[in-house]
Amino acid sequence: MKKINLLTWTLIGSVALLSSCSKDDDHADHCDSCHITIEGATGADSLAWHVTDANGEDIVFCGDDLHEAEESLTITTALSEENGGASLPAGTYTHEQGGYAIHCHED
Amino acid sequence: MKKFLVLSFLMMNIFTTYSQTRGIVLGPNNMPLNEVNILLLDQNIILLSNEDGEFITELDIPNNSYISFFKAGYLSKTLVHKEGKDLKIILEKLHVILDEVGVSESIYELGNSKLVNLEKKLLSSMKTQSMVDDIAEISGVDVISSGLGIQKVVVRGLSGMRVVTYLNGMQINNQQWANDHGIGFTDLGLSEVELIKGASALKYGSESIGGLLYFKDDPFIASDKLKGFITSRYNNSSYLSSSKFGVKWNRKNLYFNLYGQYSLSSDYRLPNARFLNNSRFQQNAIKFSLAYSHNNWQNIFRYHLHEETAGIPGHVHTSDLQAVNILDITSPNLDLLILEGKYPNLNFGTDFKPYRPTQFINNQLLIYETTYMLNNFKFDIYAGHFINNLKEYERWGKPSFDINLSNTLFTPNIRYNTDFFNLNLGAQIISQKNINNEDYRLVPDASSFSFGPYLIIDYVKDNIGINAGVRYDNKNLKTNDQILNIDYENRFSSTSFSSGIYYKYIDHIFRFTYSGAYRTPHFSELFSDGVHHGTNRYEIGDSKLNIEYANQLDLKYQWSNDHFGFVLNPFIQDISDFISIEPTDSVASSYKVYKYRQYDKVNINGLEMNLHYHPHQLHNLHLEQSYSFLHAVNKESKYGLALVPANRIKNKILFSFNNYKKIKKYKFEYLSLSHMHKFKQDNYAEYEEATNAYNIFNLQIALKFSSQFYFTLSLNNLLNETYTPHVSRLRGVAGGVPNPGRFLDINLKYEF
Repeated sequence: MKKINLLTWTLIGSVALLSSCSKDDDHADHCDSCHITIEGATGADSLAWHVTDANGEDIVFCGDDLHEAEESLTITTALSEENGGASLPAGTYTHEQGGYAIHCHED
Repeated sequence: MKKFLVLSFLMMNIFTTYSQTRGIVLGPNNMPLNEVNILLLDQNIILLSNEDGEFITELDIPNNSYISFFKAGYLSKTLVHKEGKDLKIILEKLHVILDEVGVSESIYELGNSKLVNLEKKLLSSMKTQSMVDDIAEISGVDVISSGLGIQKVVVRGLSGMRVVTYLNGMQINNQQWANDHGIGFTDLGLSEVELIKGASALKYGSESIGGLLYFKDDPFIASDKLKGFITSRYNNSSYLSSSKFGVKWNRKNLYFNLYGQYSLSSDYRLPNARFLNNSRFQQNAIKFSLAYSHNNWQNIFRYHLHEETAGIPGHVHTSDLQAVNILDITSPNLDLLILEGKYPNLNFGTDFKPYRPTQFINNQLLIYETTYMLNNFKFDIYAGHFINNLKEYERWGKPSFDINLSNTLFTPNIRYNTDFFNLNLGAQIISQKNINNEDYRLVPDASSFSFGPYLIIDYVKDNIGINAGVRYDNKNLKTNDQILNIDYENRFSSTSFSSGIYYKYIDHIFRFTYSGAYRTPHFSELFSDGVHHGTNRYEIGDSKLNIEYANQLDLKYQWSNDHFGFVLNPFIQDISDFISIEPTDSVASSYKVYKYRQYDKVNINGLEMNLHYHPHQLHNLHLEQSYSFLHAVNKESKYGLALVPANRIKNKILFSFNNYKKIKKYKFEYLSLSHMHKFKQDNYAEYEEATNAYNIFNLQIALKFSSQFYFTLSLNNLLNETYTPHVSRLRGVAGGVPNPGRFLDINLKYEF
């Protein structure tokens, strides 16, 4: 009987272990900076602009703002290309429109 | 059919009588052998002999079923059970008892090892870093990986869809077409893996032209006592922490095994002490098996849930992967001691948390198998269902793709066996469905149905044996995806075969196999169209792709005596219409465009060799060397094939402290030093580049605190070598992201 009890508790424990590990939302409190990319004019490389404030510091987005930023971003001042390429003019950029892509995580 | 079922049912009742099987296992000089493992191969149940060498079981062991006897230090023996005949077995003692078990030719799940060139490997998480690393100990086997999180097997230079994986008889389909999709389960509850290299695994599918891996659960146990284990592992490279448990229970005819696992790992440390961003992962799993045996009839039900969250390291948004600065994809963040010199830079709140891009994988496996044995016949019906859900998140808000892949397998099989003859007649019926849960899709919704009847015959008598088999497959592949606007249906059919000869002359064994198989194009190869963040590519399929065919010649020569063992295994494989992916000059969505295509002819040939030596003067010393040489030629291109491992030589020296009481009293069990030399790989695909040679040393010490409590301590990459294997997933990024630097790995296991 003792062994059956042990087995039962092991089963219950393992189910509890698994259910405690499942995650419906792994990123609710996550914050990150974003960058915008586009294919280069030759089609053989790509350009990337980090979304920064007027001081050149990365803007950090959190939660719903982060999700929205991934979809569309409005920038008020031109952004510098990370490898010295052409600047990105101020304006609204939407993910996968006009060749632009928005990524909100580190490379 | 109805008549057959009624007759079968009546037969079961006729044989429902109380019975007992007893036997005795003896060693040299008829001394009884205690704790010999007696494995009923057809029932997958194990029992142990008592102090008098006897074993008694209320299990009615069916006539003509296979029983295997093994014990450390003795040569294992497999026999065909005859009802009414005394089970008196004499095991031969090995001259050198260092090998755990002396394995003789036996009946394996994949066939008779006398006739087929198949390898069997006991899985031991105490000795290696992961299950896949354990399998890669076998000659000709390598690993595509990016740390411990994503790993998959390469057999003789082939991988992905060409290496088919089975878990307890079920085909595992988990989007294995891509290098960033790992093997899909861990070694939890598994005891061994069988491997056929190349195209000769008829019973389990014609598509395994690279090889077939068959993973087996630990057998059920016939015992009054509850048996089990708890293990724990830790490493200081990625701060991996992994715990497992297992219990086995038996009452009368009912058997139950239960296992659980929880593993958590952060990013791994490179030799330069920086950490590879997003190489973190989590794995948790639970599985159980339930068996009911009654007379000649057995039913088994298995369930397995595996959840995995795996970061995809080396992810960048550029078409020029080589130009990436490695500092951009690594960080010093996790380093506790070396860079900062103070505590704590490790943040448990974030450093183990999934980042982006990440795969969320959920695999569920259900199996039901029923077996009935009658005289020389064994009737099997196997039904399995595997569901794989893969969500790949590159963005925080929504997945890049979210796919359900379900696979249903139904296999009826009839085996007829006598002492010398074995026949298997059956069919594999497989239904597969791929359903996207998001509008964005890299691969379309697709389904397939295949039917593959087969016939395999083995004949072995005295020192000679032959094997022949044929299989015919018919596969209907259908895609009707409104979003991608694809409407496709095609039927693929072809014949596979395998034939082999075995001959033993004194201590020399010769085995020759000629086999042919084929593989239908996968829907990812036919219809991919989009960014695949896991591979940093924009991938485009080709709907005109057709079947690829493979033929293999394999010769295996073995010789051994008490102290020396030698295996030589040359092979040649020709593959026509080889499906491959190659880069174009275009860029799409910031990634280089790759397109699938077929090459007319590819030739892969190689040589595998193993040497074992135990000096007579020092039986506690075990020397082992293995060679894996491979040469792949693409006859249609000046370039080679992608992801072909470099040639390698492996050496291992193991010293056991068994006969040294002074050392043994400190619980030391053995000390081993292993070395691997990988040669330069200068035969590479168009989008790859040459990889330099390197040497890796690993040191391991094992302690045994009691007969139940084990401990191993491993120091891996002893010289902190900076190396990137040619088949690393990250070989093409930043000039090659190195594998982990020197690290410690600690393992504890307690059995009860």
